Amino acid sequence: MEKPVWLQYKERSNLVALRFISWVTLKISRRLSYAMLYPICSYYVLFYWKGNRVSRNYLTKILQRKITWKDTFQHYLRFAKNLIDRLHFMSAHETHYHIKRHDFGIIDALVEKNQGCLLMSAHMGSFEVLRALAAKKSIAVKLLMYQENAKRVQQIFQQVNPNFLDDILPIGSPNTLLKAKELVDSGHFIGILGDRASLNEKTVIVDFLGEAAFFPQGPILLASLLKVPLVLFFGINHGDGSYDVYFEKLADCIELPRERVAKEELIQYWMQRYADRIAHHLTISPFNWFNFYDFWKK
Amino acid sequence: MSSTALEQEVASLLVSALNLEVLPDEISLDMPLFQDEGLGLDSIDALELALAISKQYGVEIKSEDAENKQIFTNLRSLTKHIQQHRTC
Repeated sequence: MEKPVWLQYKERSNLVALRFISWVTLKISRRLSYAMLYPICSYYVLFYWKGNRVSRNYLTKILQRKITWKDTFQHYLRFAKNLIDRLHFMSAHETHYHIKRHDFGIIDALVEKNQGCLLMSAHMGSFEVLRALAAKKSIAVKLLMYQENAKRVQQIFQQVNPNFLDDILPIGSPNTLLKAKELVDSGHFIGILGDRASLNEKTVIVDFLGEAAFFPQGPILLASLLKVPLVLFFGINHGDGSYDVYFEKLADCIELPRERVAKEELIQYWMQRYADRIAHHLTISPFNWFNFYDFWKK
Repeated sequence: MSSTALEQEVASLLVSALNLEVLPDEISLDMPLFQDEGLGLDSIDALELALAISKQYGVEIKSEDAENKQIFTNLRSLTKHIQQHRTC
């Protein structure tokens, strides 16, 4: 069985450098760690051609103009800054961030009713920015995550926050989703990044930035089985320590028909709406897209 | 209910709950449920199956159960678990 495209790309990082930069940002200053990213991202622009190509491919679609090396540099830089910010959110050193919430009332209403939900984001912006909000509002969020890739980054996260793994539900074991069901039934939120299909997962074709892309069916199937509201979440990172965090209710309850074709059509409909919301936010904040692989590959 | 009758019933439940494209008779007792060489179910199917079993037999499969992997191995193990724990 061939791996999904995103799993065929190796993690590009160096553990020693990651450790050092995480120490700098948490112990000295975030500003200094940001400054260190300029030579690092320049290095990637010069030598990581595979990444440059996929970045350029995406940026051409979203910016609809000729892409220069400066754009690709900006793209890498935002990704790297986002990673540094994640360390801060994870270790609860998030005091110097400006986080503006939009439609947080959706979340307040759910918390008040002790109603669990499926909180769906994508590999864009920051999911961890939610930690900064969740800690203040005592919202319990567990993230469904595929753990096979990005092992080095996870190692650093665990160092920064030894409880990091407690908030993760590893995708793949039959137990995981049973656990997710138990959690939402007791009012927890389950986070999911719905833009990448895992191994063997069924997909639907949606239009994404003007070209056909494969999106997983899993998130919608899961929402229909959990019988909870499906809320979209976008943590848009502006790259200067400020964030805009958007909550958007996609559906109060997703009910799917039994019949195979009709079922798939409805899944396609919901995933198309999800893709459209991603595209909407990316049009405003293009450098927030963090899928550095050929996303549209057939 | 004899074990074979229950096995047939669970096989039918598998097919109907998961909308499978096989006949209940085609699911043998030792066919793996999750590997590709068997029925090739995924983790979402596992959740759907667990919910259907709880609805029909009152058998709650909890995420903490250490034996879950064993329970979901094949039709034989699944039926055995239901037979031992059913409340309806």
